[in-house]
Amino acid sequence: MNRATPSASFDYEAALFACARGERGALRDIYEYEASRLLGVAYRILRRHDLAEEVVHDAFLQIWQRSGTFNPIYGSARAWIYSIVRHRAINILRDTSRETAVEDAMLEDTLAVDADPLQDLSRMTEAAALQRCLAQLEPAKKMSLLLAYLDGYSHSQIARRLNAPLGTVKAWIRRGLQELRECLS
Amino acid sequence: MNMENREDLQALAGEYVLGVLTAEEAAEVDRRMVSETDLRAAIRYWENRLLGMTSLVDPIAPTPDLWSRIEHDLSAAVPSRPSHLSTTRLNLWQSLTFWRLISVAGFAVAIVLAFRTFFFEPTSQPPTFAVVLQAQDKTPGWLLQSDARGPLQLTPLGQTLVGPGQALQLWTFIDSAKGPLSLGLVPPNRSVRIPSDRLPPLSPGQLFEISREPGTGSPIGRPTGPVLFIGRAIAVH
Repeated sequence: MNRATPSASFDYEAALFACARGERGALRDIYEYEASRLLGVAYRILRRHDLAEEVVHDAFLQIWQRSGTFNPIYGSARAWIYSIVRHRAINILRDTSRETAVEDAMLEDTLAVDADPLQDLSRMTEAAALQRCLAQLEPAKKMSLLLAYLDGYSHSQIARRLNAPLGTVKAWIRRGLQELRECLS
Repeated sequence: MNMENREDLQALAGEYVLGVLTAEEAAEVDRRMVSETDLRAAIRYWENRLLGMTSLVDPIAPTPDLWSRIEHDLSAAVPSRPSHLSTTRLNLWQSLTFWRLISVAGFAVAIVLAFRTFFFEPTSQPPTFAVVLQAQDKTPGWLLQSDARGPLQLTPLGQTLVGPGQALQLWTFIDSAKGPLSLGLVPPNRSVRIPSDRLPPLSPGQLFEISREPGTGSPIGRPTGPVLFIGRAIAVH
């Protein structure tokens, strides 16, 4: 049911418009094409399967309810869908009640599990320009951006992971974003 | 806005999309987004540009019942469901589609009827579609009406300020793969008929927008300026 690779032929935009018209089949189509990848994104951030499924569940309800507000002028339907899932996952992660020792345990766990995310850059099939521009960044900036976007790391978590001062990490991220933007434009 | 502020805005938007802001900082951005078009546009920029990174993530098959749980909760996810209705009523009352249609159509019909009552003699051929184009704060800005085959009628519902050397341009989306279709420049504060011979018949949900453009219109066949008004076609029988 859940396809392993993105389908170039699936019209995400048309599916969102159909959701806005109340067609449940369109939401089901989005689920079939994207649920496993969305779950992967949420799991990578939360590192808990039950929470990740909860995020995908809530996100699909939001996609359904908010589909009428999607405007293709501002960006792709797929980016809109992913931003809902990432936003929800990061909100749960940043929930202050979870700022506990558990977080440190998760961080250690992540350190053990993850290979160097930079090694994965060659897998970025969808956005050649982004891959090229990321590859041009200094390793520390690149690593900071990937840890933030993919793993949901905060500034201070990145600082600990890369063993760098907090202010330095903040500057890496700001400059990394700026250089990325210059490269992408 | 000067260059330094623009850089700050871009950086803030990027940090928001990356997810490195604290809960408080992110909540502040959420609040600002409602009224700040530039900030919202910068966030959309990063959401689109960074999306490719998600292809680095391994997909995970959801548990088999995840979809049925989503589907089950869709019925309850009705934003405007009146609380006084008995829960034993027909499923219709729990249908999101139903409430959406009622609220959207009701609003459009109210505007169409009010407008026609005050400004027009009743006609024997009512329009079959209406679009209320709303500003970002949901203020109705324009009414677009069409009958089955005739031209579209675009009527201002308020004043739209347009600077010197600027124009308003009307757009629609028929085929999302082809992008927006220009329906031409429209005068800021009076009614205009839009020839519909280039346009297939309207369909429910069809998107219309009015953007601010240079005086001669967008040079690139899609909106270059801010979208000031937006609305979808609703069938009015």
